[in-house]
Amino acid sequence: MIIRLTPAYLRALEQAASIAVRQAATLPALEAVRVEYLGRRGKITTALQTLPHLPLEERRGLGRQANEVKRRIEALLIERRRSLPTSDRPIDRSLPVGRPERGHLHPLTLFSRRVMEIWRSFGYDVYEGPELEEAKTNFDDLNVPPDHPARDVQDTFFIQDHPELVLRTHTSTVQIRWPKSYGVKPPFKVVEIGKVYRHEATDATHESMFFQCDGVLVDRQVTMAHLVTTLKAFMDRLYPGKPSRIRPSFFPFVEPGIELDLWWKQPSKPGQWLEILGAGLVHPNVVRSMGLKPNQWQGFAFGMGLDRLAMLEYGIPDIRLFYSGNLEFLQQF
Amino acid sequence: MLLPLSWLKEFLPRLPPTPKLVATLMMHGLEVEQLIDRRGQFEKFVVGKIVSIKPHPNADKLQLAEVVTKPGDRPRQIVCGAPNIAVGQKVPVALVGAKLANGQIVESRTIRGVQSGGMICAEDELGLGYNHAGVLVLDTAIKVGTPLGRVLGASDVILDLAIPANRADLLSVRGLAREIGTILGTTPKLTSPAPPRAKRPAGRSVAVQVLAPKQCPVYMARVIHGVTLGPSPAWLQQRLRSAGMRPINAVVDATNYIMLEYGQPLHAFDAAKVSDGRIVVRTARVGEKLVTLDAQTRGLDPSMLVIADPRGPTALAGIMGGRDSEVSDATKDIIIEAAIFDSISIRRTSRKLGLVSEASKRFERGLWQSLPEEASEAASSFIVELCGGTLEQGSVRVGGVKSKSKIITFNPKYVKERLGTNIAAAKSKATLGKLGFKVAGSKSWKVTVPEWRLDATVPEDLVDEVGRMVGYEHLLESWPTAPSIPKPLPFSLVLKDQLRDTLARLGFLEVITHTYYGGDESSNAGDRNAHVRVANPLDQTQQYLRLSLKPGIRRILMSAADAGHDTRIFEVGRVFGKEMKLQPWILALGRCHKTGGGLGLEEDLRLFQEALGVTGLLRPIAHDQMKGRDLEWVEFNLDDINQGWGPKKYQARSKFPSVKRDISLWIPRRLSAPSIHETLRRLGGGLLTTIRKIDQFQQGQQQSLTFELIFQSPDRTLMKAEVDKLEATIKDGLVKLGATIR
Repeated sequence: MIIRLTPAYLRALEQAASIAVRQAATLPALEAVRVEYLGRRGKITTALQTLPHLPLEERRGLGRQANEVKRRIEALLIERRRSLPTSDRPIDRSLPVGRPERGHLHPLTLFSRRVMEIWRSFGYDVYEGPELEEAKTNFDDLNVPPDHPARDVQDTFFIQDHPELVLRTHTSTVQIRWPKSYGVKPPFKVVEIGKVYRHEATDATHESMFFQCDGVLVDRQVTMAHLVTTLKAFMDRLYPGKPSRIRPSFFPFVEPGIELDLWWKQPSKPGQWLEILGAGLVHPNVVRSMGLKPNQWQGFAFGMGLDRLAMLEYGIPDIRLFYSGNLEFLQQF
Repeated sequence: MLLPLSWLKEFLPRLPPTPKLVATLMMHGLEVEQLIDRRGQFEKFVVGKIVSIKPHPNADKLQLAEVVTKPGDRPRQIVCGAPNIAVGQKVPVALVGAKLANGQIVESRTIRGVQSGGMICAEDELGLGYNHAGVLVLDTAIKVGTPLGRVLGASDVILDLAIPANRADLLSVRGLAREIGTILGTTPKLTSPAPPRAKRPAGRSVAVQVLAPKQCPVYMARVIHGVTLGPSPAWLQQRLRSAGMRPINAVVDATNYIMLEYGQPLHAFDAAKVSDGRIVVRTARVGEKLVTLDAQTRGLDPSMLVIADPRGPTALAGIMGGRDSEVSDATKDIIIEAAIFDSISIRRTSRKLGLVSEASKRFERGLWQSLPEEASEAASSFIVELCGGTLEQGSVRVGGVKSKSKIITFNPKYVKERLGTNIAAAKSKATLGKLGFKVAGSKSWKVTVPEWRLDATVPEDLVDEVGRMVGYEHLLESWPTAPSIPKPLPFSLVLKDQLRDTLARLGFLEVITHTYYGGDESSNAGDRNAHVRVANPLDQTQQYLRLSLKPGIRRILMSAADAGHDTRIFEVGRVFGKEMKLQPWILALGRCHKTGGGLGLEEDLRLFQEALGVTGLLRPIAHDQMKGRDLEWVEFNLDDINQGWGPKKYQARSKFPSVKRDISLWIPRRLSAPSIHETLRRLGGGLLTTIRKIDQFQQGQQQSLTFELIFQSPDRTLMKAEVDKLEATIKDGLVKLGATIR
């Protein structure tokens, strides 16, 4: 059929199509209407195909009109389709459906991955040291002398018949383990995420077992500026836009030592500075424990607890939920 | 440490506004944990004088006190239940409208028919302590009508400072003044008072013998004769209260005041109660006991250091005095002790007895050689000033050779080298100078460490002194250039993440349980003796390091069953055996489901192996039943999983037509899904490409299963007879296994 494309013809097509759409009472009937007008050999499609044969001055106006008509018919079809029952027995959308069973990773796994991902993107290696650790590695090598308060039975889990062993109290042991047990030669940078233990009564904010992330970088020249820049970059990845501040602090295995606070503000609550991580330049005694010479190698180290950060992140009120096996809790992540 | 600002101002008269001060200190290493503002507390509390007391007409235990609360005013009548009130006493009075420590507002009301216009307060009602045995009796010298806040140290702002663990010198007002002065850029006035002028020639009233010189390197004793005891002046009591200490009497208050100011703990003995005037510093003997000032009887042992006289211990050295040699109102002559006790010895004894005091806290951090003498002199002058008496000339001193000053060789360039920011040598020098370090030399410095800085030993410590004062917020930005080629991730990490992701995709829930458990669970995990034992568990659930993840998994499954939930869980974690170096990683799976409601954990395990791409993970599955639910659990060593794990390979689909057959069978409960699968796979051979369970239901003790089997050859079209034969072989095999073909 040779048709002559005119504005009037288009108007007539649109009118006919809209009537046909309204009259289609079932999905197959509606589909037939679609094919009649918009199908590969449909009336609108065919009409549009004649456009190139028209004089240039007619083309632009008609083309636009034809496309608008096409769009309006499509819209009518979609609208009508929604109002038609999909089969003979219409679906009752008010009926509840079974919840598909899906798995869940532990919130601390999810949070650890985020932290790990940032350090990986900074080029850090990843290490996993033992949880049952030598007291020497956990304390002496990290410049914590035998009579330091941290080594009290009040703070550390000891092992029966093995006074040389403890459940590690921090993942700072990576500072010794990576160069010494794993034998990595400097320069290096490495992080460890893992479980640590404190001999501490449990309550909503304290656990005897929790997760830490520690890291250490050793090179010929390492400065506080390197450390602060690295920590700020890390925090900015973890919590973009949240202000942080650095202030002096003391830990036996670093000198100078610092702490990083993060400004934590939730809607409708007053903001507050939260202590997030401790860090510093590796103490010369610790450099020696690594089996390196302090006049040749320098380093920085940092460490943070992950449980409290995850609690803030997910709004978890009680640290004990993490290790309770509470299914209702775990299913939310 | 509680630092009243009024006290700090004696050394640093011009302090910035408090919020600014707090923020500045924080950024330079002195953390203000709490800002206590006592101004405004004790509003409507005044000092009153009791002028008469008569019994309450309607109550045996109550009395009516007439109290003057404003000079020249008529006394007001107050009903009071305290037994210790007496005419002439000065007491704290809460006027109508005053707010007590418990939040209650004092009203004018009628108590058993008598009007009471206020309240005479005990310590607890004022929020000063827990004492409710009687009203707080104040110094009679205080004027009637004085606002109570002025008497009780309530007009002060107090900083509660967290002192870094390595800084012994900051447990004193003077030490803090020096530090804060340097932070603020001002110099504190730390002049020492003139040494006390002794009025009495050197006597022989005290002799000191130190039998344990290692635990007591320095011991000094001074004697003051003829002191008059009584309460200390109000301003002093106020200071002590603000600093968190309770006023006792003038002598004790004076020693405490000097301790807070200088950092040197002091102790005053009643000289009359020290037998023969002989002080012996020795370790305790087996079986010795001492009643300490807090009225507790303490059992001593030879690890503890005591101050003794010939009769026995009179004080627990460096921790607490003994009750029997305590200074009391009857005391005439006193011995003032200023000593250095070994920090480790003090700490051990303090922990052993569970007794921590302001003195023990300071000894634990360590004291420096010249401090006892300085503090002893200051205390002597102060006591004579407060209590009269005459100071005996000289002091008895044992030990205490003047130690050589520590000198750190330091290149000023090292500041820039370690901070990564240029700081002028002159600035470093000035900062160190203000903190008491003496700098000599130009290119290479010899820095003399002040004796109170026990913590400073290496050049890095000096870098920190400068860095701290500059502020670590103000360093230049600089990215470290250390190695840029990371090593591959440790294999166990990669595998663990694969396991976690795979199991989560299959609908499992990840749990993390404690690494230890109690006796019952250790038996469940196998041989209890194979476990590593915790030496100091806090409770029953921490006795054993886990040898298996199963007990933890089982615990969670049981609580799920108890709550009526179906669930599938897993945990990845370490276990500990006698081979302590190993600490292998374990994967444990658990499932809790309605009895008869499914194929169970074996089916999950099959799907898991398929999804992960491993083969050969066969372990006996442990099971239990609870409240109509089956509990099943199993664990694997990650090394074993790793053995069967390899990259997945794509298998091209066959171009030849497939043949589909359904087999329905009844299986008894004891028959497990993997054994059915295994039979199907074994008998179906290479031509059986897919086994899919398509139907399942329960009838009585039997379960019906329908499998769809798809046969296909990669290189030819299968013949009907061939497939028929395979189907028959499979059915035969299933029947032999115990199934019935339906």
